[in-house]
Amino acid sequence: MSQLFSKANMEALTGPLNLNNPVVVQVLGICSALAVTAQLEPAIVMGLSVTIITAFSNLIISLIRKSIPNRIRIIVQLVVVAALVTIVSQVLKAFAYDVSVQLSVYVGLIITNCILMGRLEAFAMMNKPWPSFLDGIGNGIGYAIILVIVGFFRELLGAGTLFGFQVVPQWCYDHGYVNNGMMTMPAMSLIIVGIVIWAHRAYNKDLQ
Amino acid sequence: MKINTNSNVYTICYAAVMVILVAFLLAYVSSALKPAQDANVAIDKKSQILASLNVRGLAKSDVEAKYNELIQETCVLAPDGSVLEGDAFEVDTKELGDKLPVYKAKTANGDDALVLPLKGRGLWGGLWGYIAVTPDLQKVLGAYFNHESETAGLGALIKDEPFQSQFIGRPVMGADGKVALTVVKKGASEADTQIDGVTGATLTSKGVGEMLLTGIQQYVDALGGAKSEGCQKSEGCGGCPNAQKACEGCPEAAAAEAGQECQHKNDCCKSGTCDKSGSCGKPGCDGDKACCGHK
Repeated sequence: MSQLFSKANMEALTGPLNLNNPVVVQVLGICSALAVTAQLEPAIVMGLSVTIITAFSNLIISLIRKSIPNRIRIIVQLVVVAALVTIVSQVLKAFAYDVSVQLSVYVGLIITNCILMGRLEAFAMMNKPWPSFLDGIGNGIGYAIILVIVGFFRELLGAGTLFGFQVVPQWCYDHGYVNNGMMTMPAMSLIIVGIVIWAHRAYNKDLQ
Repeated sequence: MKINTNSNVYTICYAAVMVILVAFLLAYVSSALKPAQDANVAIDKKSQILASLNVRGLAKSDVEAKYNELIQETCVLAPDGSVLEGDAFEVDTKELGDKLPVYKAKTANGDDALVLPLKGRGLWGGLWGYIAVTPDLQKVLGAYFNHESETAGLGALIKDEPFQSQFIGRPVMGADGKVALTVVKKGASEADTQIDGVTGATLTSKGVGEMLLTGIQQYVDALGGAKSEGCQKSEGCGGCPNAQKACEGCPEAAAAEAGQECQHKNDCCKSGTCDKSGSCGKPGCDGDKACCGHK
């Protein structure tokens, strides 16, 4: 048990949450971070989907890493990721239809999410299954955290709601408060991601 | 034995086996989840139709029951008004063309309505919607629109209630008897048939307007059309809205035998039977011979 959560393994899990965050430090996966964060719920579902897919594709690739012919390794990785993405998208359609309509093509586009290919190439191809699995979960959650932060601000400021529930009281609207329509546009999430990166770097001086 | 993972034979075999395994896996998942997905799609469509009848925000589990309660009959019309085989619900709203599904229904307040599916084009992609009108196609009772990929926060607002509720109570026809219901720039509305568009989404609003003009006109042509077959059969589907006009255009084939039930259950001769003179045999119905197929 102590081996399962050794220091190196914990590093694989927690590193991506902060100092090695895939979005704010490695600046990967920005495209989907822009597209699905207008509301909190799709942002969370997207984060969860990416976490599940990174974790299991890391696990599978790590299990078969010694048998993969080197010349077609990218193709093998893609097939594994694509199969997992298809399964996740089908499951969403069957059990969370509204969310799958909102996420539309972006679930399919997880296939091309740089975080996945990056982790497969950089980690799963040369590490054992268990650390790879943890690395996948860590990176997925690291990505999800940023999506949730961006989604929180965009939904709060753009629509005055969280998870679809009104949180800005009617009193504010009566006194002239107006929702910021800009926040519902994808461009604003780039600015929020920029602000998050700024705050993150200001706090972690060694990243500068 | 150490296998050479870089040999051509190994590479090809590896790829082939992997692809076949993945294909079987995906086929299995897809067929296992298909029923649940189809049910979701059907419920989504039903809740859109209900939204046009001003029933909104239902929980998923209630949609089916409410739909069955409010929708009474459906049929599929051809553009010339003849009734086609097939289930109206099965006609994909995004692929309307030669098939015009009509749903005879009640609105949330219990008014009789016809729900007409519409499709059009917005700025970035397709638009579709359902408009509930009175059976004579004169007044809008409710509307629902949706889109494939309009701009979030601008064009996408057409799928929200504030835009759609503007339509309630508006007349469909203009002074010239043609469909005039459309969408214009916000504030530029000059008649009741002109609905305020979404600010900043000119092309999406135009798309909705265009969809209304051409889409509803198709139904007006089909439902008021002068085809003998149509005026018999379409009756099962809310009746020819212009029963008289429609039947005047019918050839002899539509002439009724004495004793035959009235073909057009319009308000006048809802329950009457035809007498020899071709009138529907109800007091106060003089001159309404058309309802029995006589000219």
